[in-house]
Amino acid sequence: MQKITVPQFFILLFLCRSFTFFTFTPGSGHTLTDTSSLLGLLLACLGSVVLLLPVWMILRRHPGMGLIEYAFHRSPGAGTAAATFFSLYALFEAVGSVVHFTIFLTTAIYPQESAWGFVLLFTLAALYFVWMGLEATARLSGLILVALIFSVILISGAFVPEWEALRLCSPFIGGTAPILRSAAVTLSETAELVPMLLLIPYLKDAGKKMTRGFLWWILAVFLALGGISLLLIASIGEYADTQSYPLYAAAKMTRLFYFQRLDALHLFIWTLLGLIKTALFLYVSRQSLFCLLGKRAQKWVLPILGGVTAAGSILLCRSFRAYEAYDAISLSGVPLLLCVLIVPLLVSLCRKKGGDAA
Amino acid sequence: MKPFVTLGMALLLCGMLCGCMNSLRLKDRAIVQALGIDRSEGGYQLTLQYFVPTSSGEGDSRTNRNGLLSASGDTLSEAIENASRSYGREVFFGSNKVIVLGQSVAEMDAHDPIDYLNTHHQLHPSMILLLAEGEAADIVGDEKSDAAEIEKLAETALHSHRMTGGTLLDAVTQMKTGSLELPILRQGEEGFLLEGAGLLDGEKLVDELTPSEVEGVLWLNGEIGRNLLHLSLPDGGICVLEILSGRTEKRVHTDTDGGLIFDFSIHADCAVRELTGSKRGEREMAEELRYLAEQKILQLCRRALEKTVQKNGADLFELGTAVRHFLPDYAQKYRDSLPSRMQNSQVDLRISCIPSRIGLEADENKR
Amino acid sequence: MFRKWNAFIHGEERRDYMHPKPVRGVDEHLSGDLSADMIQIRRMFDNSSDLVDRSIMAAGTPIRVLICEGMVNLGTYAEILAEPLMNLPPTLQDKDALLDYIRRDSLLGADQKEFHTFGDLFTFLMSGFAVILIEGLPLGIACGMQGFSFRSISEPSSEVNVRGSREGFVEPLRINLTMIRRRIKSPALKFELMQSGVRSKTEVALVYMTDSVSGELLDTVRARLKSAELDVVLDSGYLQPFLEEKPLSLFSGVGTTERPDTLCAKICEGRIAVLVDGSPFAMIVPYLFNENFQSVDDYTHQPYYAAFIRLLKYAAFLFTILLPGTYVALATFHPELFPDALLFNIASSEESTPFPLLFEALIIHFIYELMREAGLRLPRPIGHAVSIVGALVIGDAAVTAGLIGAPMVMVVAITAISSFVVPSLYQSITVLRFVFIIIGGVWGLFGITLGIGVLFCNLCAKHPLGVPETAPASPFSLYPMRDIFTRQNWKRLGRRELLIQDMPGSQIKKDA
Repeated sequence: MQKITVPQFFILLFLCRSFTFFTFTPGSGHTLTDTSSLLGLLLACLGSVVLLLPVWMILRRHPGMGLIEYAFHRSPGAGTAAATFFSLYALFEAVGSVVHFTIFLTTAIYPQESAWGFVLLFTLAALYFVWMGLEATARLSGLILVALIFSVILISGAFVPEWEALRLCSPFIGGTAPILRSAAVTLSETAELVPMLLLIPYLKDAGKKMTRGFLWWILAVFLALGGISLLLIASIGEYADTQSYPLYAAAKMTRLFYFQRLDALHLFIWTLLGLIKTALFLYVSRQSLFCLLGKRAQKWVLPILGGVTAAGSILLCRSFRAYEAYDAISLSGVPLLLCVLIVPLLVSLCRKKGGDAA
Repeated sequence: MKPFVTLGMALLLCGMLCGCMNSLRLKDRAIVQALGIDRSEGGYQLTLQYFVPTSSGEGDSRTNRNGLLSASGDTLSEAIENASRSYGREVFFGSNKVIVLGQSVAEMDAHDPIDYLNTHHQLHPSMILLLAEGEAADIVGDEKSDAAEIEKLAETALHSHRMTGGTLLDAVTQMKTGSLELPILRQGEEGFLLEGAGLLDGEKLVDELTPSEVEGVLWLNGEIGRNLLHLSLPDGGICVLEILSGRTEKRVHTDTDGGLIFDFSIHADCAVRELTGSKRGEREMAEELRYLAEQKILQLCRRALEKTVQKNGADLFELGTAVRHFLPDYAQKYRDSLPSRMQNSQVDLRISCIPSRIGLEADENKR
Repeated sequence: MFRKWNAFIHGEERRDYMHPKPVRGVDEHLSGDLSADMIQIRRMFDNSSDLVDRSIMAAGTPIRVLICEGMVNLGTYAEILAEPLMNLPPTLQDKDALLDYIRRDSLLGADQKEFHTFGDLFTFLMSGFAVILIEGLPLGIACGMQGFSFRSISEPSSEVNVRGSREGFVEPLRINLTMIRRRIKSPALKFELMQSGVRSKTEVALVYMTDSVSGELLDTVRARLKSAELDVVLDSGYLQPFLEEKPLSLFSGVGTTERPDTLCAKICEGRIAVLVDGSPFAMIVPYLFNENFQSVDDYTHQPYYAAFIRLLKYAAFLFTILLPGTYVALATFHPELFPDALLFNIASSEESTPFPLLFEALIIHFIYELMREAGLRLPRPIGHAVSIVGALVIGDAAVTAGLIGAPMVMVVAITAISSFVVPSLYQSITVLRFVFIIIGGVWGLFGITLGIGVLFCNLCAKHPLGVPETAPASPFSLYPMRDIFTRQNWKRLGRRELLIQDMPGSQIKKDA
């Protein structure tokens, strides 16, 4: 079994989180361009820690086990149910990633093109990443991280002279409701918590490093995303509020020497981030199905997952109602809560196989 | 099995080579350089200046000229579509330098066109956006008009802080506050002039700012540097000061009645560039020059405030932002009546303009 | 459905591959009867005209001396073989005494070996040995006195450098081994010889440092080379695929070099070199991606200049594979990304050209590759003329005729020059360039980004012989980065050796 190191894993998750943050889709009512979103981000980070506490307490007693392995350890029935559920959730997230990215492309860059070509190509590329394996994707993520940091520095650096502290106001100006709403939405987007719990067996020397890695990841997410939000709010201010993709708009405005805009760099980075995220969730889905179906599934699972992802994405891209329904489910936080809290608690209550009481 | 799968994938990919994305050659695009938008009851009239290439790969683009195209439609999208159809090439705004809104647009509704321009994926936010004195078609459609020259004019004015706003980004940002200021492009005898600005209440033109009022807006927004300040001396002479750098700080507090008081602290560093018609030396007059400069700046700022905030309730100085920053509870409490409260607010101006550099001419030469 | 296809294909008559039948009797032992043995030899050799045999009497015993014409140094043959055999001490009276004398009391060749089979006889004969057969003794003695002609040591053509040795490997394996031995005067340097090729019986040497190499790595390389069942091995390239790893990739995990100094540096890092007789290109395993951008000059120049050249090479690599495709993608799908003046020039040039940019790029690059390949194959005087014609055809005539635009000529020029900055990657670069041109012309920047993602994922998936191909950039480790994008000063670089087993993510076991 391919194994990756804990730092590689959390870099993967950091990139996935960056993608979610900056390519949210219009119509979701979610904006990250006022100061309440900064406090919301902080609360969401703390909420992630709190949310993971119960499952952390469960899994620390079973080092090297992920949630599915733990479920199978409790009972075969629980394992089957958990594997099915997580596989479907991961597929759900993979479809969401493809859709979000395609909508971004067909809104901001190629508005005259139809979505199916992008969906097919993007899905094929993500499938290739899965086929190459977790290790290859993790190694690639290290290189993409460098490119991400470089591009964010370039884009952010162009806006530092525009900094106006006056544009920062108290996050409580609209009351606590916007802050809590922002926190809830940000937390519901943190789907990366699920791979964190499922891919433990694929990490070298998980153990103590996982806890430390998780805390570093949370801190990095907060600092990076909060920093960029802060810069956008203080430098572009109200203009960012008029844009569906504020960072893309910022990249469009950045001038670097002779180059009048850096949105090509933005497109490059976010395409790679989207591929990483989609590939990670497809990988999780595939591995969950392997736990369920065994080695006989090895040949055909990936093409089927790819087909379902592509079909689902095309459907959601073409039907705005379907997409809104998908978004509502996703942003409600219910799927994430089920994965991270409810299902692990239910599994831990199952009668352990061998007749021991739970 | 593996070769068949590989072959299948290769065929699928090859199948997608057949036009899954619409590619357009550059010669099938009309590369628009300037766009003029006018409005009438029937809809929009567009005047487009587009790049006409002359030779194949030889020489430079300076030998090329621009072509003109007009189109109309009920909506902007329809007008652009008609332009593409009539010219036979896809209109391409990616290289557009200047957008000129006609007075008719400003008088009817500027919000919708600006919103459309903001959401157009090809248009760059830092593109120049100006208001025409009269019809935009007269400016953009003029045979002597060149988009590159208008752009250069605007950029020079921006860099030398003689123009405020002037880009699509500025216009969209200002529209969020409910007020909008667009520099006015006029046709002079020897070319185009950027003079004054049109004041819109978010949708319609309500007033016009004179050049000195525009200067006052610049001072109040802290967009100062490399401007020239002309001072009339008591002894009949004229002194020209160059503003080297400056900053403006805004604060706000309330008075006992709950009214708003805005404090503007403007500090500028300047240099004496020219002193004519006066027999006294620059060093001798340093304090007097300082006083005169401060008074002049004060006068400019007061005029700007009177025309914008007090008369028309136009928040061009991020006053609302300042209230939200310094008095969040107040902003929350009087959210709906904040614009009127700002209009009736007091403004305290503290100006400091220090001539830190004197010229090379020795004072003895003047006596 | 696939079964039907398979049946359809297998239904055709196919000749199964089989190893060539060995020559009859090649594994038989020598009988000791000189006449019978000679008849066998002539039959097996089919009376080939380069077999020279000489019958002489020595110590009262008939002996035969066999050589292959042109393989043996005649002067050495006369001096240290023929003359002593003709002037044996009178005390030698029989074959056993003669054998004793040859074994212990004489030096009939620098290298003296005994053999018992006809197969070995032919191997030695065709390796430039002089073979002695003695009547009554079922064995032969091979004396090394190679004297065949070979290319003299010259500057390697594929790895030219400004400063550093001008010696390159030549075709004979033994000469190459001496070049290595001269550079590393350590008993830890080991040459391990083996044969490869059922018919050619080509000598293959594994070269490594016993104090640096991993035993596990060595066993793996040995096993892979032994698993190569080939008829003939004429070049190191024949064995290269057996050392490669999955997945299928445009980038090789096996490096090649013509330079003995490069090889010595690599084996001191715990790598293994494979030299093949008849090939001046040695293979080095494992080979990482960043090594394509390293050269001897980097270690002889000042560190700041070496860093500059390294970065230039990385930039050149990216330029050469991405520039044409990106240019086509931008001009076709994203012209807004061009600065205005450049856009106008490109638009002006495209105005009169008949082909879309994608087609233009493919044509011009194809013509360039034709010119380059023609220039390589033709004799030098004509080759110069081809390059001039190429420059005229591509550069001037095509633009004037309005077939292609001037910017495209510039793109081709920059791409072509950049491709020669990293010669070891030339094969991959050429293919990738065309792939990215097609991708850029069909799918724009989005397609190019996907292509780059897929390419780098493929690169990251490779781990030649257990070492990640992209190490130490990813997985990242700070210490090994001292010699990747920059090169530390030799005072620090030489302080601590970095073995291939120490690379981050390496699965090679370190020997205790």
